[in-house]
Order: sequence, then C-alpha cells, then structure tokens
Amino acid sequence: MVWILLFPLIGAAGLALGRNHLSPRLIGTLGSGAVGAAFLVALSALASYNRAGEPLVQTVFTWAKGSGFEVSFGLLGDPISLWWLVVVTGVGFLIHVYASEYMAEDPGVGRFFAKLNYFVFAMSLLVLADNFVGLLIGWANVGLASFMLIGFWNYKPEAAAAAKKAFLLNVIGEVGIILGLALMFMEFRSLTFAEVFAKVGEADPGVLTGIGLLLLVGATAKSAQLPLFTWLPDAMQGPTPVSALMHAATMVTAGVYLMARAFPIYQASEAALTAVAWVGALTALTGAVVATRQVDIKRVLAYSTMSQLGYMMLGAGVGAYTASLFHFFTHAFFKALLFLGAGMIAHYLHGEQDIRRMGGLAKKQPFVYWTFLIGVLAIAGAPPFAGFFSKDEILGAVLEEGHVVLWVIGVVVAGLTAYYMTRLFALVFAGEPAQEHGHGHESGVAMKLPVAVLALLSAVSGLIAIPGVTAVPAHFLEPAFLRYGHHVPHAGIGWPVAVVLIAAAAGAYLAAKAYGPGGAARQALVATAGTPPRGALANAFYIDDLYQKGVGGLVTGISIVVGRGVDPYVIDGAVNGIAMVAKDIAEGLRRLHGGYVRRYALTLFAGVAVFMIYYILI
Amino acid sequence: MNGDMVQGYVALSGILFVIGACGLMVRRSPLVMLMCVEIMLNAANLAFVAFARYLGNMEGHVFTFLVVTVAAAEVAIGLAVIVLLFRKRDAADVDDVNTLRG
Amino acid sequence: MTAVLWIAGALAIAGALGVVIAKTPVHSVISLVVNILSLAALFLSLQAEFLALIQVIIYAGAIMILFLFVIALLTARRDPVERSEGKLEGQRELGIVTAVAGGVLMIAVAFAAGLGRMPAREALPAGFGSAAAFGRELLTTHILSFELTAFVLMAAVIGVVVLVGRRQL
Repeated sequence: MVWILLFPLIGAAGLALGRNHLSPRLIGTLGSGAVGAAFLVALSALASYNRAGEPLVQTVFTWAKGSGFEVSFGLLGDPISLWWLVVVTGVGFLIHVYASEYMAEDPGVGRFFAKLNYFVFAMSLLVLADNFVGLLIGWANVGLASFMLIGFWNYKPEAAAAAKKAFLLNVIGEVGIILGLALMFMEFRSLTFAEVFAKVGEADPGVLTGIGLLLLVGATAKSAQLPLFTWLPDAMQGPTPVSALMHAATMVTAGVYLMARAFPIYQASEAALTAVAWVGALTALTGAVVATRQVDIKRVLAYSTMSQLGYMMLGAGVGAYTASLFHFFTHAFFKALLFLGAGMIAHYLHGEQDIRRMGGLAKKQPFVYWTFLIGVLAIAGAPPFAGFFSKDEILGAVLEEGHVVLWVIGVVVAGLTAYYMTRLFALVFAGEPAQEHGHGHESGVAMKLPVAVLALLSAVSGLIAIPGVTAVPAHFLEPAFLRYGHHVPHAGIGWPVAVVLIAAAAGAYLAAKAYGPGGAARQALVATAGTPPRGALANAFYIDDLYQKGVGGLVTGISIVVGRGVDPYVIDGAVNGIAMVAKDIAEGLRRLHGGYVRRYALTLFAGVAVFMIYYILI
Repeated sequence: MNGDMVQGYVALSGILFVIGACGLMVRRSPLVMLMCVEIMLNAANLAFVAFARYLGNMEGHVFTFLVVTVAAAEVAIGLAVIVLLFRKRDAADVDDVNTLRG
Repeated sequence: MTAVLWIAGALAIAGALGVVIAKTPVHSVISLVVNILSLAALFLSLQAEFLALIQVIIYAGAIMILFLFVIALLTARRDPVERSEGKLEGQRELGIVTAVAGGVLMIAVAFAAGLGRMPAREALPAGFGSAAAFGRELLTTHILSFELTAFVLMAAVIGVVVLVGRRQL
C-alpha cells in the first residue's frame, strides 16, 4: 500500500530534477505513468480488502518505542480511504494524461508535472494515514501543492495573489484543526483513529463538541464552505488541469473526508453535527445563487463546486455518510469532465473564458458539445445519469432524518443548479457566436480520451447505486461506519425524488428560455461583454471584498502602527533611550574629572566630611 | 601640667587642618596652595605631639620628626615643579593646568 | 598652663587664616612663619623641647626661606593671580562650607571622644622630650624609618636637580 504514496513521490522528485532535460512528451508520460501505477496499486489494495473482509493495516515505520507504548506511523486501508484513493489516483491519472497535451507547450511543463505528482502523493497520504497527525501532514502538504499550482504562472500578479489568498485561508483552517487535535490529545491521550474512536463513549461531551467544531473550521477552509470560500473562485487562475483535479475532484473534498473519518466524534456531539449540516446547506445555497450571475466559465464551475461540496457536507451533517461519499464519487467524474471540457473550449478559442463572447460552438466542436452535455445533465440531476442518484440519496436521507428546512434548501439548490448550468451551456454552445474567433485550435487524442472516459463514467456510474437493486457503494462503505456503531440512513424512491426532478426541470426550462438562442436575457448579457459583472450576486455578496478590506485593512493597519510607530519610537526609543541614559550619566560623571586640582581637593574633603558625619552622627 | 585637657590641643589641630584645607580649595596660586599643605601637615604634627604627651610615649615625637623631614623633601620637589610650570606656561593660575581632564 | 594654649593657639589660627586670606604670596609666607612659630611655642608647652627646636630651625628657618626665594624668583613683578575671575563656579562657597562643616565636626569629635586629662609632669618618664630621649627612640626602635627618610631626602635632591637643573654645566 505504501507504493501508492511512493510512486507519485518518486515521480515528483524525478521530474523536478529532470525538468530541464526531458522532452515534454516524456515528462507527460512519466507523470501520468507514476499516477497510473499508483492507481493500479490502489485497485490491488481494493481487491485485497475485498478478499480479507477486514481493513488493511500497514505500519510504515515506528517513531518511538518505549516500555509498554509504541508510537508508529501507519497506513489504514479501510473502505473510506480506499474509496478516496481510487478516485484520487484514477481521476488523477486521467487528468495527467489530459495535461500532457494541454500543458505541452508551456515552458514550465516539467515543473508542472512534478508539482502535480507531488499533489497526488500528498492527497494519498491524507487519506491513507491511520492517525490524525498523518492526516494533518497530508493536509498541509496538499495546501502547499495548491499554492504552488495556483500560482504556477508566477509571472501573473493575479495568480500570485490568488495563491497567497488560498494559502492564507487554508492556514486559518489548519489552526482550527491543530487546536482540535490538541483538545483531542488532551482528552484521549492519543491521535490514532483506532484508539481515539474506541474511547469516544467515555469522553466529555463538551470537549467532543469543541473538537468537532474546530475540525469543522478546517474543513470549511479546505472545502471552500461559507465563510472561508473566497479563495476558490480566485484559484481558477491556475491551469485548467489543476482546477479540474484539485479544486473540483479531490483536494477540496478533503474536508468531507475529515468529516466522514471523524464520524464517531460527530455522532457523539449533536451540536457539532448540526453545525456541519447547516454550513453545508448554506454553502450550497450561496454557491448556487452566486453561480447564476458569473460570466467566466471557470468561475461558474468554481461556485458550482462550492455548492456541490455543500451538498456533501450536508449529507455528512445528517449522518448519511454513504450518500455523501457517493456524491463525492460522482461529482469527481462530472466536475472533472466539465472542467476539462472548459479547458478544451479555452484551448480552441485561444484562451477565451468569458461566456459572453462564446456561442454557437455546438457545430464547431461536436465532441466537446456532447461530452459537456453529459456533464451538465449529470450535475443537474437528470436520470439516468450519475448526479441524479447521488443527489437524491442525500436529499432523501436528509428528509428521512427529519430535517425539513434543510431539505427545502437542498431542493432549491437543485433547481438553481439546473438553472445556472443550463445558462452556461446555452451561452457557450447554442445559438450564434457572439464574436468571431477565427480558426480554432483543435484538441488532440490525449485530451479527448480522458474526457470521453469521464463522460462515460458520469453517465453510468449512477447505476451502481440504485437503492435496493445494486446499492454497491452502500454495501461497500457501511461496514466502516458500523464498526463504531453508526447506522447509515437509506432513502428509497418516493415522492421526494419527484419533487427534486420537478425543481430541476423548472430551473432548466427557465434558463433555456432566457438564455437560449433569441432569449432576451442572453442578448442583454452579451451586450455587456468586456465589462466586469456588477451586483451583489455576481460579486458573491461582496464577502471577498469584506475580507480584503476588513481583515486585510486591519492587518495592514496594525502593521503600519507597529512598523512606523511602535518600532521606531517604542522599541528603538527604548534601546536608544538606554544608550542615552548611559551617555548622560557618563557625561555627568565626567565632570568629576575636570582636570582642576582644586576641584579634586574639594571633592576629597567633601567626601571626608560626609564620612565623618555618617560615622559620628549616625 | 596637671589638669590640662588634651581636647583643646586636638580641637586646635582640627581647626588648623580645616583652615588649611579651605585654603587649598579656595586659592588659585600654586605657591599659596603649597603653603596650605604645610599648614595641614603642621596641624597633624600638633596632634601627634599632644597625644605623645597624653600617653607619655616618645613615639609621637619621632613620627613628627619624620613628617617634618618628608615635608621638607616634598616642598623642594613641589617648588621645582612650580618653577617648571612658570617657565613653560607662565601659569600663575592653577586652573589653567587642566590638560589631564577626563 | 592654659594661657599658653590660648594665646599660642589664637596666634596659630591667625597665621593660618592669614595664609589663606593674604593678597600677595609674600604676605602668605609671613603669616605661615607666624603660624609655625606659634606651633613651636605650643610644642614647648607640651614638653617637646627637641621638636620645638626642630620646628624653628628646619621649618621656619629652611623651608620658609626656600619659599621666599622661589617667590622672589617667579612672581616678583606679577599681579597676584586672584585679581582675575575664577574659572570654577561655586568652588569658593563650597570650599568654605565644607571647611566649616569639617571644623565643627573636628571640634565635636575632640570634645566628645571621652579623652581624659593629661598626666602630671612628674608622672612622665625621665627626660621626656629631650634630645637624648628622642635620639634613643629614633635610632633604636625606628631605625628603619630613619634610613628610609634619608633615602627620601636623597630622592628629593636628585629630583630637584633633574627637574630644574641646567642642562649644560
């Protein structure tokens, strides 16, 4: 199992060292090969697990051994981690292949693949660790990889700023996690999953709630939940393969992984669990609402990711872990598909990403048209595509657990999702082109093949989860949760499903009407091409500006006060002041030495007189 | 002298000493300052002799004699220095000799 | 013989004050001679005959003459220095204050020290203060000091010659 980690790590190191000596094709092949090998190992681990029926445990090395206790670093292959691994390495492999063509002309291609491999390594470490410390190490490294890859084109100031923003917000999350782990250690005296989860029953409920909330802070930052999401739209500055792999399919789901992994803690604390659910629901709503007004393809998809992650958190927040994880699974496929398709469009249009300038691509790029359509249908929840099954499982479980308000929010979000995706699709593909682009740059096999595979998966993967009939994910994942006594709720097919379908259909219809060929909103929107979008929705309720000006201003203000005020006057003043005092004392004492003999005599006799007074009178 | 108290001589010695010290601090001519030093030495001599009489011990006298001898040597050297001072700088004011300042 | 003490004492004090107050160096020297002679008288009243002799011969006779010669050599035509403004402020006042304070303290010490009366003349050892007794004391118990003093004198002579002697003879 440890080879899953080592293949990408070796790939990263090798590519980093050889980045200037190898041809782009070789780089692409090596990078993809490393991840592909990891994927194969993951599959074999899956097979071993299925044979054994017990989670796989592998100790990598022993950190410390004392009398009676042993601290070791190990890997855990249980359903949850294997589930994530297969997605990370599999989708990662496909995206690496795509990127080998997409990034072929970029001068930094070696650097790119090295960093991408490094990311796969870090993400695998995150999900494979058998203790919270390993998880945190993976978490931090994933944040580093994100920083490196968002700011990949480091000559672009926006990219550098975006990378910085992502890292800062992530650090806030990490602080939350570290505090949570500190509490955990104080309470349980251990940080391995097995030991902690075994003792949850005896722990103090208040402490458990605290731990749960603190870990939630970390998940909020990493998974771009409200209110720490502002980095995700800006993260689109990175190359599209990065957006696809990290900020859609895998990295951002680390928060969901954490929620699922630490489920015994959340099951023991009602308050923390409710917090998770509400954070998820509100994020889903906000993301969907803001997405309806975005004009850049990738930003629409970014907010869409935020919204879908909200769904996953909602699922985890009501205890429906299998549904949540299954939605992660399907979302990875169709979101990666959508991003890679957007990349192909941008490739074709020489870098254009503003949808107000697109249109009519249906005829010019039929391959992209069909695959993108599959992605849109999947995310909107149209049967029999994957999104339908996963979304409805979550919403069904929410309702079954009795959270009506949350369910209503979820339904509204489903409608909005259909709306904005249809809007995007219509503006990009339907009707007549808004502007002429000249001869386009057609994509090659290396890009088309992964997209085709992802389209296929988006289409059919739903079928493995038909409740009652196949239900593969449920059966696979449930033992992990039953281990610590949690029964995952199931939803059947009933009237709630119909409600969701109606909502989605309504949303799609409205969007098609407004933004389809000849639609009034379409013309109005296209006319604004070239200007940045205005309005509260388009600017995500100005939350980002609030952070920039509020927190940023506060920090800058403190820095100015300290730098211009405290430092020169107080600190330098104190140090210089001490020097001044010494100097003044010295100057004063100096006068004793005037060189005047008579003065010396006076001093002498005065001193004697003083002594005499002292001895005689006192 | 029966009945004579030694305190009178000691007090007188103190007064003379202090007068000498005052002169040393106040006057600016080096010659006069040297003379004030002589006054102080004499005052000390007086105290020695008084106590020698009080204790019936001649050692006080011996010490006085030694003081006188040393005072003579010191005056000789002091005057030589003053002569040099006058030659070099025409300094009649001791305050002008302050090049050893700190 | 307290009368001797009072008169000679007053003269001594007057002489000392005269040194401090006098306007010209020559006047200072004269006052100092008065002081020394009064002290010689006081020594006599304390049975220190030999010492009184020494005081007159050496102090008044040699040292003061030396002073006079040097004064004559150096400041014959000069204005006394204290005519001009002084450089150190406050020195005068502080000096006087210190001196007065010290004086008061000394007197206080003298009278508060619990000293008794001097012994009677008959109780003194025979030949107290005479040259013979003095010589015996000096050359037996304090012979080392004697030799060292001789050394000091020699050093003084050499020093003077080195300092102010003419280079070419």
